[in-house]
Amino acid sequence: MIRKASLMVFACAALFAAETKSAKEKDMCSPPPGSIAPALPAHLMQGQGDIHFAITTANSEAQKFFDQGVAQMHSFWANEAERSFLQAAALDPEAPMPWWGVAMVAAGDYRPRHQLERDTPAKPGAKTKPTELKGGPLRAQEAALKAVRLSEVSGKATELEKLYIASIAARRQAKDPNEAYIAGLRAVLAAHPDEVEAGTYLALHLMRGYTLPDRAPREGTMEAVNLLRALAVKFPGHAGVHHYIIHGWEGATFAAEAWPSCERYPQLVTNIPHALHMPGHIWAQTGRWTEGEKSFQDAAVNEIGYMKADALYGNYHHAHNIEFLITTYGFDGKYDEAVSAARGLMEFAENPRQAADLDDSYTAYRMGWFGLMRTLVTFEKWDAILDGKTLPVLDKPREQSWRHWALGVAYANKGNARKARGEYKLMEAALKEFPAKVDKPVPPPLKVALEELAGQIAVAQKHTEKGLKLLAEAGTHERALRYTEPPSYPRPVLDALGKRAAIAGKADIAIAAWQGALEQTPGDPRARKGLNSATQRTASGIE
Amino acid sequence: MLLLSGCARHFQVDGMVLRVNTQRRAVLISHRDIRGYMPAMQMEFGAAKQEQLNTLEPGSRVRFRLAVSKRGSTISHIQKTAPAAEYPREQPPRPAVGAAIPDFILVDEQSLPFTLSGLRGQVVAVDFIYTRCPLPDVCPRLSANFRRLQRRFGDRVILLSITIDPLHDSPEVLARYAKLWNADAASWHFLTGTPEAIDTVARSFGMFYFPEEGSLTHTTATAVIGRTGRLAGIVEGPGYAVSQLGDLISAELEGK
Repeated sequence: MIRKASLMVFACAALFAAETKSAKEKDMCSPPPGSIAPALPAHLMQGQGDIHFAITTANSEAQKFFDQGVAQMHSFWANEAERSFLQAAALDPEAPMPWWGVAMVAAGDYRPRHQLERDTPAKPGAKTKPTELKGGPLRAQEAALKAVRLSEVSGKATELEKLYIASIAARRQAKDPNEAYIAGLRAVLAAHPDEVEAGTYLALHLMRGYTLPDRAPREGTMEAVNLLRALAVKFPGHAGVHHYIIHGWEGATFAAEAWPSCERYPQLVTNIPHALHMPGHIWAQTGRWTEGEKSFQDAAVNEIGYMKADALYGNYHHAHNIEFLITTYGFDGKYDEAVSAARGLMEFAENPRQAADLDDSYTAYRMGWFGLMRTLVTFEKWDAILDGKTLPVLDKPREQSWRHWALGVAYANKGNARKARGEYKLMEAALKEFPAKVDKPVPPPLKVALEELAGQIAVAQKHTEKGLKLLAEAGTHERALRYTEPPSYPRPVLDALGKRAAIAGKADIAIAAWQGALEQTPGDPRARKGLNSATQRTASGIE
Repeated sequence: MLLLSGCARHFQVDGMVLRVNTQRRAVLISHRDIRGYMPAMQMEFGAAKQEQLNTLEPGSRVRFRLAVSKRGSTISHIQKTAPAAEYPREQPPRPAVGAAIPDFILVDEQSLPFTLSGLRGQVVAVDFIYTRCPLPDVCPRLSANFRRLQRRFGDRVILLSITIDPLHDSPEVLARYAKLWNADAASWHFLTGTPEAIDTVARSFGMFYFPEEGSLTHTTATAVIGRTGRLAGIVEGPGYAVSQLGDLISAELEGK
């Protein structure tokens, strides 16, 4: 009898394993390009954003697909943008600019600079050799070379087009691609100051975000902010301008200034999930929960339509969107809605590759599981956490660690310090084994969680001062975690500290904690309510 | 590749199994060029050990050591060459060579019902593809191989390409795909159906596939079905030499 296992070639498995491993370290806010080029044909679609970027082509259809590609690129829909550019190239094989488009999107680095730097921190001395490129980055490099070659044919490219091509070719070839790209875009703007396209690309690549926890702009960020402010006045109907304002302002102390763009962007781009989703980032971090929920709900409806239409659409971005919706419901006090949304994600079965991955925390199921755990802790559903049923056991190292944390916090808040201590030990052991099991360091949020649990246990043991101090330290460390949306920590530690301190009669600590929580998440209703109550009690002399 | 050991000459050889004769401890193999010894051809080899033949069957892709001496030649160190999966999975059982392939009803590229039983009496080759597969070395390669088989055998062999992406690959899409490959509609059919029907058929050939972001991850299996509707051989992976698959079909046509 023939042995049946392990004989058939897994045609795509290795390729996708590599793709997934690199994608794992990123949030899924913008769907990445595929490791392989999208198949043709592309179709002209409604609601992609009204962008016109005139190029040298006699083929009007090629121009339409090129415009669509640029519009889709402005909404970070890399795969569809690449498909549109490839369609334009197929319609006019001699036109260089469609290949410029492929060179722009295929590498997956057409995103805010702060995201790129967060996902791939610079390693001193690390070099990327062209021969090491594969997948999207290789496609991008080859496309840049092709664009250059086609642009050298007489009459096939204007001087402006050549400048655009030179900028992306420099990015794909230079030793310092960031500086080369920025210099290339500045050269476009020097010759053509009103080029909105170059302006938006430059702003996107200058924005390096804000430091944490103080939210100070990093080098380049304010230049991007000011550039976009100017572009918004000159080009109020440009989808990219409004999209990048949202990205440039998120995480800033002045994030609320992006509200007009949050209104405008989804009006301009009605049929790309990321465009509908993205305003929710600003709404949520500025306390406008209802608007945030609507953004995420609209994005979900739009995206589910695409998912139903195409079995290969995937669900990573949908999962990210719903995870953000769950978090927003949590802040907005909507327990049932949050649980329902989390359980909705948990209905997505993991495919065999995902199921075999010990730490793919971005599968829809695992994001749903985390959303459910986040919700139960946020709403202090201690009995539900402890019933052993509401939060199913997920036998993966990361989720097992979080489960021990949730159980420990629940026991501590129920006053059972002994059992909480038991969960602490289990969590500690799980984290000790984590690097060996999954070949990664312990995720920083879990380190903070262990600190918080220690504080919760100390409070439960009546070691109040020590416990509050530990919680305060955990809160500080949580606020220094890398910037992610939604926050990678289940709920603000400072919310828990405020409540614990208030119960212990430590009004000054409670007030400071809630003030910090409101700095961290403006509009945090629990912090606001707690702060109001503590302030009133202090003012009336109750304390 | 020539290996030196004692008086015999040794070669490392790649090939595809066409027939196994355990009584004579021999195996008919369509092999690639054996540099310095012989060109690619079909040849029966005697195996050094009987047990090395136990896991072989028509379609198995193998690498082995050929020892040639004055007394004759034998093969040893026979290894199947298909790589193992990247991760553990539950795989549908693959049909055994000689097993009857269950009949199925699908729809062809002309939107007409199509049954396997309607091909009884003919030699049939079956593969599984999807039209928007963007990996040149996988589905396009399988289709290119079928195109070459069609040139070689004409209507003496019926080719079936069954999509594993049925929601996308409608008969109209398959008709365009058939045109792309210059398929002769009389002998090369492109089949689709409901996802459930496709899944049933694919599983009956041991196929395993699932959707990812933007593509399907899938195993590949190319089966040869004899005139009586029984499995004559199954080839794993897309990287086989089309001449070897052709030899497997020839062996079936000629009743070797």
